[in-house]
Amino acid sequence: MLKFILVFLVSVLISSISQIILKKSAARKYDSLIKEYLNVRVIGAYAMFFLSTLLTMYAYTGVPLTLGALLESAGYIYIPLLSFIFLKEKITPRMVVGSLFIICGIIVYNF
Amino acid sequence: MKDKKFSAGAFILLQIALIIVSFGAVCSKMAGRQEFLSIPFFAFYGALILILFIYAILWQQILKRISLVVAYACRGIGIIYAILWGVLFFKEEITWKMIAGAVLVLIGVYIFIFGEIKNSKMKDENEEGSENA
Repeated sequence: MLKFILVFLVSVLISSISQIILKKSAARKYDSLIKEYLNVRVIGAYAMFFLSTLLTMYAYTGVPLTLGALLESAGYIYIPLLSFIFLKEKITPRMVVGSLFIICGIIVYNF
Repeated sequence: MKDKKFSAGAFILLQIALIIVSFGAVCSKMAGRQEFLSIPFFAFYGALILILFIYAILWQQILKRISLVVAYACRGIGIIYAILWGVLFFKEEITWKMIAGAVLVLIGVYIFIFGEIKNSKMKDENEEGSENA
């Protein structure tokens, strides 16, 4: 079970990294609307996202659905952390408290 | 990359995206109820793929306007639509656990974005932007 939980957490991490790459792409200027989508970053990010969905499916073979929903909320920790490191976003105490509430809510909802 | 942390336009776009993607879960569940590889199965599965595609397009426009941390936190609002469609389409019953969970998530999202609304208003009012949050 622990192995599947770890695979799940890695999968959520990969999908969170893909979000960072999407944001990096969105912050750039492009000549046309099409190029906002058809560029290395966006296509690469969605390839990563696809990989993460495969990993999640594999992880679900050893993790119950309710626990899965909880593990998925790790994104609410990964995203602020990765944004702080790679996007130089300021993370305020308010954001930390907000994330905790969201995660607690997901736990209560699923158990 | 100077993006506004919060903008009303982006927030409306986000709500539209969340509603659209919440129908994705409905399609996914409906597809699961059909005979595998039957025509209704492909109809629902196809609708799911289409929904995810539209969501991806909207998401990029949202990220262009607001910060990722805020946009991501707002995805929590989707829990409301999930409950709503569960009741409307699948006659699922609402439990107190679900309501309590949803309320906690919404409080979290509110705490998360409220500071940003205040911040962006302050920045709009005075360009100097004194740092007293």
